[in-house]
Amino acid sequence: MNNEMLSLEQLSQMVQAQQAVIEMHQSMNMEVFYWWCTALMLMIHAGFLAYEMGASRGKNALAAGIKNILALAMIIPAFYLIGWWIYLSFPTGIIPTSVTEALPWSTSMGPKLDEMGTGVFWAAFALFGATTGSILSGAVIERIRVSAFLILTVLVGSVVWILAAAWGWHGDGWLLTQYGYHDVGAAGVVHAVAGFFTLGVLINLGPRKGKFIDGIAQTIAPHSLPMTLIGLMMIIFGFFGFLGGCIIFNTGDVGWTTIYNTPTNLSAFAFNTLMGFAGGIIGCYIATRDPFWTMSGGLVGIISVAAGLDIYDPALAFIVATTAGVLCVQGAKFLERCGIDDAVGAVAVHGFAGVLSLIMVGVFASGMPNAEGMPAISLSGQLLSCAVMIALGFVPGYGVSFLLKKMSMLRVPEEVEELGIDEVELLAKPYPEANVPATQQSDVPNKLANV
Amino acid sequence: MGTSISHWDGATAYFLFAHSPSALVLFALGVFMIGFGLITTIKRHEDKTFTKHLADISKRTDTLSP
Repeated sequence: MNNEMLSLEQLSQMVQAQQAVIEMHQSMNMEVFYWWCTALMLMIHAGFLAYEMGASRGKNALAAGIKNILALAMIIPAFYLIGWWIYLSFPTGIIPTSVTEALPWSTSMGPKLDEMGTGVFWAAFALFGATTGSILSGAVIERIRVSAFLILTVLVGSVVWILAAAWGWHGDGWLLTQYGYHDVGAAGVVHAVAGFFTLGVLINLGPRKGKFIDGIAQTIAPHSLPMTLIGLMMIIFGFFGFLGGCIIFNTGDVGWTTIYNTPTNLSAFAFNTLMGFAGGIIGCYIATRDPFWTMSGGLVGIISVAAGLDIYDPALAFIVATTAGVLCVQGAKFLERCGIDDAVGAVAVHGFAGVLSLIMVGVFASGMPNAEGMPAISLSGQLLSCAVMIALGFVPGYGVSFLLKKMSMLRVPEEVEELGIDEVELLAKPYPEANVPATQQSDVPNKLANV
Repeated sequence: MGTSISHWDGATAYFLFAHSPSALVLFALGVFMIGFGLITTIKRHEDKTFTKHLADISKRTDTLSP
């Protein structure tokens, strides 16, 4: 056996070498974590695709789908060009600070060996942005022009929401540093902003033909309710990636923290996400007994507790989510009474639930400390932040869709809406063989016939 | 042509054209142009198909009218 004594210097070198290995593995684990969060988030978009196509009538199913796919394809490069730069440049308001490393021609915005993490963080944020685009996408189905939708979706997905994130998520964000804003699961910066952006667009877009007869709202049934329900469940699945992406995987000895650098862990998120999901379903079921809204309730529930996923007692999260489920259905009914045709209830599910989520944190968590040097959570801070999120979403959504409407670029002509966008614009049918009777004997033998 | 490193020792930003800011600006501009071009072509396609559809309807109405 070799009993050779190691000198202190040799020991120190060995420890340093081990330390370097540990640090490299921590960085790799961090990248792996966000990589899979991003992959899971893509399931949100698969879900929105199925959800919106199912919610459309058959004559518009493909148009709803292509719109959703193109939104994803447009928001990603747009977010690459300006989104990341906005997040890092505007935390203090509307005057940018100089952050050249976030510009698309910076060497930080590409493969770089000494910077692990930038790409996976960027990817997660890009897909948060794509989620805002999908929130808009469902509400406006069956009458918006794809070109107008893409302009609006790029605006919300790579400019508007990320400005909200710069103000409410960034470590120097003025809502955090001055008002102690708390929104760990993006209820405000993603859902409320996108929901109210959508409301602004819907006001200018107007309802689908036949939605209101003599001022009374009619039901326009989805062409495939099962597809819609499965799509919603896929969105819920993807939300585990979304919420995972909201938590910070720190290297070193810090462990998990929220985006605000306060301590938390995945268990906190798991408790409250699932309890919120269940509560929301029950709330919406109680309020409607409707399959579509029951499944949407899962989303309402998660969003309604998202702002405080790190601090809720799971039972309280369940109660908040159940209440939110009931209230958001009332919100959707109110919108309909106001003549707003939100085809999938996006404003209520994302906008109203997002706002409620922020307020509930203010109600239940006032006085809870934020990270060192930041004001504690307060109801007044959360209420003020709500107003900011609502305005930040609504004003650009309303303003830009108003301009598009004035230029006759927002909505398809009435005659096109009548026949269906698929047949006029895409020259395709989602189910070409539907309702075509069999006219000749099949070559494939019917095995059951001989039984 | 676009290689930005000659060896891996000490390499940081190793992706193609990382050493050439003007090329990176040009590529970013290309990304913008493709996005802008997509929206423009979709709008053109919509205008064309919608106009054709409205013309078809008007032709049909003319044929049916006594």
